Amino acid sequence: MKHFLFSLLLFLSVSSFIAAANPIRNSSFELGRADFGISRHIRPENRKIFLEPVFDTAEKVHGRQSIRFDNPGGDTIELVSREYQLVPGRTYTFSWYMKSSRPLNIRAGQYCGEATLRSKIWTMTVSHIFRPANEWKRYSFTFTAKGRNSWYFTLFRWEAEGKNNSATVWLDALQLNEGKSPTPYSPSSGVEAALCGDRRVRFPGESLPCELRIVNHTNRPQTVKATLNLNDTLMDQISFPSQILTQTVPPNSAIALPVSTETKRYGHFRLAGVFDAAGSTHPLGGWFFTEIPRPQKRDTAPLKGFANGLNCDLGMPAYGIFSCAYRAINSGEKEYMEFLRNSGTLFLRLHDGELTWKILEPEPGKFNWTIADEHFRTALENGFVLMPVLGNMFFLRDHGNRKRSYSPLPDWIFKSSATRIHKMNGSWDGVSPDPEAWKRFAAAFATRYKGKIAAYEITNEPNIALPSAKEYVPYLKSAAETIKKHDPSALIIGGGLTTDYGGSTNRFLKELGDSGVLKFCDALSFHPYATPLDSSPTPANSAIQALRKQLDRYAPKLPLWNTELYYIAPSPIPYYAVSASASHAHHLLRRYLIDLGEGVERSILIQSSQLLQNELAPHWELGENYVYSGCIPHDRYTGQSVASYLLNGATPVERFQWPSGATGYLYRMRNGLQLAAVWKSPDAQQFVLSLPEGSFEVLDMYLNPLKHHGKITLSEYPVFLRGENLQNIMKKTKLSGVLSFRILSAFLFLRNDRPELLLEIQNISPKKITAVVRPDFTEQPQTAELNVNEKALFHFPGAENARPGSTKVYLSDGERNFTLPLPSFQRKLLRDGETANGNGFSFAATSTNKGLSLQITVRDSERGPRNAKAPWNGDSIELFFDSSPLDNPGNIYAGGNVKRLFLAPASANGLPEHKSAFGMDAARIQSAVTVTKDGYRAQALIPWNELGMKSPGILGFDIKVNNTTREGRLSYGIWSGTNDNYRFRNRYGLWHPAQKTGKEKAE
Amino acid sequence: MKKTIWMGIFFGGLLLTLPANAQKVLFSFDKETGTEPTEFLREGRWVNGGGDAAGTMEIVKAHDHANGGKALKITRKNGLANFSRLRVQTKNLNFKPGITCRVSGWFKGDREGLAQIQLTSPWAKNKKQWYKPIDFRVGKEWRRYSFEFIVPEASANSTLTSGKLYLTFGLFQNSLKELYAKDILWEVKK
Repeated sequence: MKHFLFSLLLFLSVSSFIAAANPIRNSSFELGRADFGISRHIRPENRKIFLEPVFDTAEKVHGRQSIRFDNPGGDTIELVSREYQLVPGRTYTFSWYMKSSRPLNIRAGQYCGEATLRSKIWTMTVSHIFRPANEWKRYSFTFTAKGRNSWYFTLFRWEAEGKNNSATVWLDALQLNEGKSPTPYSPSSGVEAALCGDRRVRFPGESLPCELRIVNHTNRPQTVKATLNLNDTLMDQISFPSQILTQTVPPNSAIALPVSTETKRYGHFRLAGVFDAAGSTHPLGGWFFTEIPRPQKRDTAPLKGFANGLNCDLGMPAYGIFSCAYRAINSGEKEYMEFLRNSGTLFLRLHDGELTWKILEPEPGKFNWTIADEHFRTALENGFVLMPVLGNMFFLRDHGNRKRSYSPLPDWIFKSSATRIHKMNGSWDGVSPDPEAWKRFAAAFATRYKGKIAAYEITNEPNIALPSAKEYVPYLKSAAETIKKHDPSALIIGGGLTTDYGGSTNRFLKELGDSGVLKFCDALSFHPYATPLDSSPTPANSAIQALRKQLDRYAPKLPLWNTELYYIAPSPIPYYAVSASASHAHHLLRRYLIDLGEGVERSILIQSSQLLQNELAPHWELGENYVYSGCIPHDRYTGQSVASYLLNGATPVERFQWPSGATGYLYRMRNGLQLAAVWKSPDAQQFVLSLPEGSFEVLDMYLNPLKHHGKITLSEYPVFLRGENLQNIMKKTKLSGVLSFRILSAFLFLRNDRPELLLEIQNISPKKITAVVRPDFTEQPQTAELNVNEKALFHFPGAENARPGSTKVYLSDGERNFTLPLPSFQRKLLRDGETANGNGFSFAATSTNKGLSLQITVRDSERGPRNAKAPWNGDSIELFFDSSPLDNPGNIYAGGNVKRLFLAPASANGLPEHKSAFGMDAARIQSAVTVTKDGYRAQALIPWNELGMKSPGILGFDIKVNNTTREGRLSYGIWSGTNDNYRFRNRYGLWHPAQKTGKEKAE
Repeated sequence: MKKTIWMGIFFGGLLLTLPANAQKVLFSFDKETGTEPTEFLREGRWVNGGGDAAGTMEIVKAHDHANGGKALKITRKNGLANFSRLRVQTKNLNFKPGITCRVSGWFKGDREGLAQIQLTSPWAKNKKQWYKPIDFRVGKEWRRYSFEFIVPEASANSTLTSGKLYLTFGLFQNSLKELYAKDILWEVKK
């Protein structure tokens, strides 16, 4: 007994030490490939089959087996571990055993990224190339962990670079231990366990096997108790009874136990929990799967009604390990196609893969259709409808350190005298390729694939690639004429208008319309990056309506296609990883519902990898090209499936005229039933929809029956009503909101040097009201008649004591009285000559007879590099001026009244001091930037007329200071507004001149 | 009982009679300058049942109403022993029987609770007194309520033959401690 207790204590201490010492789970592969992802980059001439690794019991270093990669096709293989955290500042040694049948270079690395709320960035990558011997040998390297909230993973990559190296490679006993040298190998714990099962998509009535595999590395039997919880990943209220599995595992052996995945409902689910063994508790999972409706029958004829789609390169998230590689992750092409097809997705836009002009016509007039033939054949066999983007994009962009060296256009096109390069601001130049070569390419493409292509989109995002539509129109026209000549049934999609990268569409569309080229188009495509959702600063539905209105001037019946949908997160942030991880099924569904409701005919998600759940590295979801987990559905996949099932082939019937924040549409599904979708944006008030008696179904976002008792409380998750005569039923519904008002903005300005409060109030009740508004510091209410959703500004003098949060605002709609706290002031206030502080800078703005004098001090002693044409990408000061900040405050866009000035010191990459302006003549602005001991100081004198003012007056003003390090990492500080200052003027501060102005007198 | 009758006579003597053709009467407290309203009185039961010890009636600032101005506030203190409600009433108004009246006004309580509004024709000996109470729930936030009263044709033995009505409202003592009222509008619909 004493001996047993001693052994137990010894084991417990070893077990906990091991857990701390080696964070790599299943590091000797006793649980198969659990906790690892395997990518195979398959060369184009090979079949796209995922060759599973072999667990070799004859060759091993630890336990019963090693992992063996046979590689007859010479694939470039990557092995990626589950993510883990290390202690910053500590030194670790990564070690592993490896052997190879033939000489081969293998890169082994520890990759690490910093995950924060706003961004995910690479903190460090430490990797080395090793050349395994033909017998087992231990390899290692040492590094110091960095970052504060960093997530690491292990990566091995065969450095074949596309060359045929069919060496067989074995790996075993991976370990991370603290210290500068490898310690004897130990697994992450004495007992390891993992949830295993490859199939993750289930239709109703089907089984979905999952098993708990357990390995006991110790010399004693171990009793393992696993507690597993199954939950819907989005709907907290959906959970299932815990499963408790208890089993004794013999020494040095492995077992498998079945785990129930039964849900009896649609949804996206996560199975996770813990297991207890030998006195320690360890995490298990999460293991994700989905249950979705079986897709509709696929019609591959050109569609009537709505269709959703995917931007797809027909390979798993491809990353250019080598040209034209097919990337298979944990499964092959057949499984990946089945995964996409099961989502019900019909339409594929082929843009991001290898179908570039460069690949297809490597020499003038000599075409290589090998990749395209294979891609199209596979897609068509799987029932997809195809839309290639002809020509990809007409640009020549920076590539690494080699400036203007990358383009999807063929290299030879740049040698043609008929090709023109357009110098553009930013990171690329526009290209007008040789027109005859373009026509030849379009003719060859359309001839070869006659009858197989549903639509051609004529280049991607020309409104940001090219200086104007004038450079685009001839290419659209010639492509349209040529394609229609060779393949009359193919549709021509023009436009590709984007609001990404600050792209503006109005002028470009006007130029397109004026040119008459739209008569050659079957649809106009757009990319709503700036307006992804109903909750965006400019709501998606308003943006579509505005686009439709503008298009109607030139082509009233021309359909709209949304061909790139990416930023579907609630709050777009210019980091793909973050915006992707913040977006979910309900965001995707809302966008599809809006598109269909507003009459958009196609809505195409970019990109197919957004349907994948990164189970191994949730903190790196879509963050990098290394860390993918295979055909594991994200909740966006479940959303995509629901959208496909309900909306493909549907047509819009009605948009409900509801208060701001609540959205509802009625559609006719392709089976003739009517469908209503209702939801609210997350920042809107609570709405309740009262339902009449009637014959209709009420379904949740994933199509499960919803208990409602005659009332639906709207949320950001859409709810569906489905029935035969919904239009009449919806007329009898009643939408009620808890509130009648929303305070859109609040800020102070000075009148006669006394603060006056401005409140922008919106009527969010379902009817016209007489609004009475009074903050608690005054006895005098203000009144206004407001229609549904109408906004009005209310002025309240004597606001010395107005305090956001503590000051109360009383509002009445004539029936109800509301008390709301005064929200934070949207604009900061600055008096003439007063010094204000921002994050890392201070400044003063003073009125003079000659103009506005600015003194800015920046605390930033480290100069970084700067882009010559994009000063905001380096150490610089951006100044924003709005000459009429109080005129038409409902118009939040930075339009003609807004001027901008850039000032920058000399940069680390040798660029001199910089001054440039938008909307002003920079030559008329006196400025100087002086480098100081701890930063730099800028001075500027801007004539009043350059600001659009005759004399000093209230000025909308803001300052943004961009800061780069030597490594080029960018951060910024802003005084009053946001990083969207270049688009929106409503958060600039208000600068007040000392003297009373004519403008103020007039007010 | 004698005391009640005496008080009724006392208040009856104070009541002013409004024109018979009045279609709309607004009881606004905004112009009140004193601490008590000039157009509302405490019910006789309240006066007889303890006066200020039972509860108070005062004019206060409607500081939390968007319109601002003033409000009438009823506060329960010891409450009434023999009656469940603390109520105030207007003076008599002339009216024609068989009309429909709408009474609306802003009300709020110190909590969620029950209040009451009532139209009454003044008591008269050997007549059947007509009155119509409506209970309503108030909350802590001001809300405008609207009530419809159908006043029947006057039968010979009804107090309605007097051609007078008065308005009463107040709180249920077991439900609310405070009741606030503001801008009460009494309209004749037909």
